[in-house]
Amino acid sequence: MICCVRTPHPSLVAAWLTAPALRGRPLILGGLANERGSVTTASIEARTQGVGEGMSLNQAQQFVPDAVFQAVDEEATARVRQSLLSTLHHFTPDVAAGQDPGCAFLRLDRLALRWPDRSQLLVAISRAIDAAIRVRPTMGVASSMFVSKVAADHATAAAPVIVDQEQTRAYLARYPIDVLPLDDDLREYLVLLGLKTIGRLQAISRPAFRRQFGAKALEVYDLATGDDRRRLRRFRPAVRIEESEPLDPPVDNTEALQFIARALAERVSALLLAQGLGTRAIRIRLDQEAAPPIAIEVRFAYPMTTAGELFDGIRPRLLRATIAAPLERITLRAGRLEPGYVRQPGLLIRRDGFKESIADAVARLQEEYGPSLVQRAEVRSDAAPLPDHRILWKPA
Amino acid sequence: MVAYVDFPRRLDPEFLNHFGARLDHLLVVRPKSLKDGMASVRVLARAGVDFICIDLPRARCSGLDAELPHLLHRAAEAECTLLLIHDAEADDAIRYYASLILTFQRSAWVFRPDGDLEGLQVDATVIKNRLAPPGLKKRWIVPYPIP
Repeated sequence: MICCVRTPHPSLVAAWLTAPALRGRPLILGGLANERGSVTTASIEARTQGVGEGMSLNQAQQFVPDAVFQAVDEEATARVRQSLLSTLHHFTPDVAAGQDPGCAFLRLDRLALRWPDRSQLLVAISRAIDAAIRVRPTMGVASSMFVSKVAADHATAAAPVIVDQEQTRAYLARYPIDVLPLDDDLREYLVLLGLKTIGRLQAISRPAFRRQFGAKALEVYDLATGDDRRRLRRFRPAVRIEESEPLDPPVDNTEALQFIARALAERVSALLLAQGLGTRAIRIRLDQEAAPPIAIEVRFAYPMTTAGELFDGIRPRLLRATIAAPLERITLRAGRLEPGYVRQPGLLIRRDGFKESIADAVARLQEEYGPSLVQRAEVRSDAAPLPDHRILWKPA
Repeated sequence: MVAYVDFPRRLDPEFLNHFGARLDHLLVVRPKSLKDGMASVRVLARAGVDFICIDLPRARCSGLDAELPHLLHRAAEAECTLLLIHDAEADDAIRYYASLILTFQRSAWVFRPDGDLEGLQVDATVIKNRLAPPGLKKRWIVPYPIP
């Protein structure tokens, strides 16, 4: 079963968190009233007076003269979105962000043992979200993403809607076709044919629907019968692995720098190991005393975890760095994180016959000295007997 | 996996192919300087390449004396075999660090009874051997590929 969690637009939530006094008042986000622009979102108090998304700000002011107009705080909005998904991620890793802002999905199947009583689970989710972003969500539980979203849209914060799999068809039948993702032409056509509710749509057979509206419209038909084949795209919480060391007194020789970089590589490696991760890019930042900082990126062909491997990539880049002033601080940040199990050193042979360690060494050499340094040769026996024709040199 | 560090850029893969070499197991490194080449050898040896052949530049290469001890240490650590090819008399450093030194001398052309060129007669001599007495001489024919 899939649970859809709906909260107001994250921009609204962010505005309420910044200024709690705005709750319960008509609030319109998108810009100030006198600005040229459109409404990004509006609180329910403003919506009830006729304001809608996409409307011009001037028009919105005419509808609700006493509304508060604000620009969208993008950073705060992103934080609210992350906070919502991270909160849900504490319950299960099967979490996905919905297409609509403020909408998220959880797969509940793996929570049956931990939470045998589903209503208690929903209460716990609601409380956790309230604690994180100070908003009580509406929730719908059903067998697919689409049906759970419809259920969440028609639920209240106090009473989630749960639709059993057997009742999906009957549940959807009562709603108008507007809940389906229809384009204007198809909606108009269905209305002309008198198909105004999903129940009427369900009464038509699938082959007949296909004959009338084409294969592309079958997706809509499947949704109307509760068959949603979209996959849950898992949300991955942001992980930041970074280690930094001030250099006091400032360092101006590479020997000392290497020594500290090695220690930092060990700390980064320990953090990666603790989370079972590997990194494919180490970003080095060298803060200079009276000069702009130096940024160096070291890339790896495979996700690396151990300190020795990380330092093997870092050392030659440090030696080649042009340092203009004494260094005050060195920072290593692991980027492009991937699960560590992706790499099986020595166990797997790649399709091109390389061992992983050799592939990584070749990639590192090519990055450092150019792709033509390490090559592979292929002989074309069918080509003309001239060296340039018969031998094909390719970067390894 | 084998790596061939080709300083003078004279490796002929077709010739190797003729003798049944598996080119998919061969990496050809073509460095611009001795320093780049030696860095490549160190990295590849450490990564697990089993055999590295270094075809040294024709001119006497300055800096090789200093590079060789590091190189040998890395190769020994990684259990990698190094083969150095040099046109002229080997440098002192190479003569000191090598376990086995062979010299090859072209002695004659070899022709078939019908007059076609069959190959090259080569004399090989063991100059240095850490496991057995040096001085052994052998002669054999390197056949030319038949087009």
